[in-house]
Amino acid sequence: MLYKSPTGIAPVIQVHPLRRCNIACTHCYSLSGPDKQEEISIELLSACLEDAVNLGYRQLAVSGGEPLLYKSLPALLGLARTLGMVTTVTTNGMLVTQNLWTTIADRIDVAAISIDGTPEEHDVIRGKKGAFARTMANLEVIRTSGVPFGFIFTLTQYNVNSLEFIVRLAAEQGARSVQVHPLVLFGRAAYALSSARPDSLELLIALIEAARLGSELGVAIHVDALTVDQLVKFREYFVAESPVTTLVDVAPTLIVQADATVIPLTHEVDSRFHLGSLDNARLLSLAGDWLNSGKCQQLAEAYQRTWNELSNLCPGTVVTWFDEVASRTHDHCNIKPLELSFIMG
Amino acid sequence: MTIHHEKRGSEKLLEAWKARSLTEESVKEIAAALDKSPARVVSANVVGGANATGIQLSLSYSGDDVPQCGNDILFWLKWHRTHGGVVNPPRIIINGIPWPDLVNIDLDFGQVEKTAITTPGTVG
Repeated sequence: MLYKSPTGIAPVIQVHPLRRCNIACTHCYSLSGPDKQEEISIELLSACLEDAVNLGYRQLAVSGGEPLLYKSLPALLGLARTLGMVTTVTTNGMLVTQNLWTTIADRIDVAAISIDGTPEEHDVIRGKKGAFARTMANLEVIRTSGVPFGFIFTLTQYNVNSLEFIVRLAAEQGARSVQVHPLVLFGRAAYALSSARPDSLELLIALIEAARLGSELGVAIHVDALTVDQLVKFREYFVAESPVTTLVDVAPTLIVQADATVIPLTHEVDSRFHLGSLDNARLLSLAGDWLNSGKCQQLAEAYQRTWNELSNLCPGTVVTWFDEVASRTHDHCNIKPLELSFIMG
Repeated sequence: MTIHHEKRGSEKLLEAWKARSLTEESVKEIAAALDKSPARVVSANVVGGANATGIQLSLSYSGDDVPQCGNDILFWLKWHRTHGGVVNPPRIIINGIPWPDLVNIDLDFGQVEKTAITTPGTVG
């Protein structure tokens, strides 16, 4: 079923159960690394998932940090399955072993493996020589388990030329899909890659390359961006009708950080829109208070403002919708939208 | 403020696209298209030496076959969309106005540096 949301899929709760990771990637928006200790207990997350389902969330997306380092990952995925949720896990693939994968393989609907370019490019981003080779070697475990998997490629201002390599690799390795995710300037990326956010031209080229390569190689490629033309045509999928009465209407993606903070939409949303901490209250309670506080309506207004501004741009302009909305939550009186450095004439 | 000197990904993509070498598959496609075409191949040159980057073709169409040259131009365009290279505009010489009875076309596939080409037997 195509849900009426920008993603077209059921509302997603994106959980970062920990910030510990075996590496420290330059583009990491969660500032994860080997020395990070933040972790949410399985008890808190279990209650959170139950509440999330009651709120309308139907998909659990687990990342991190490196989710394979979360010892309660099998339990978390198992509970999600019991609750009828679709489960995805995003991993760097370096820690996959037969023993570990066996504990979770029957509880994952899709695995997403992060690949950042050619072997050399990937290793530089990951900050570890041999990272690419290790991930490729471990793919065999995932392949033989039968779990469908895809690649996630972080698009920057400087690497759309590597997309062909990624897609060809996906075709060779049996990956079903490639997700092209524009770099988010949050966490480590905000200072390590501050000039690398892809502008509208690079997003447009990514869309064109995705169409060409997908057609040629038979790999499903999804770019997390859309044209203004699409935004206008499918308005009802992007802007909730007022009054907004449910959380999923303005937060089709809900993020649970490793410090138990609950955030609607993206990490870049202004902190005053955060729902609160699971350490203080259950998700249902946080959501109820948030809906009654007026923040829900303010976020809905940010959606409307964003749509009004973007819909006036040239139809061929390519934007990242959620990021645009998030940027407009930062100062209600002095909006600083993302710089659109290229607009097609 | 740090000024980043790295090229955009799209710039690198275009450079790589233009610099693509010929592959066996891309050459076979040209051969297959010529088999189907009524054109007479006047000349065919491979450029780039051991690392071939392009092919220069001179094709001739006469009589009722003249309208078919459009199909070959379309193939030439589509070939570049798949295989890359530099799209040099074709050199088209038409003999016979307003009803051409002879058309000669020079098509460059891939990466061919533009040079002055004289096709024998042409009349303006």
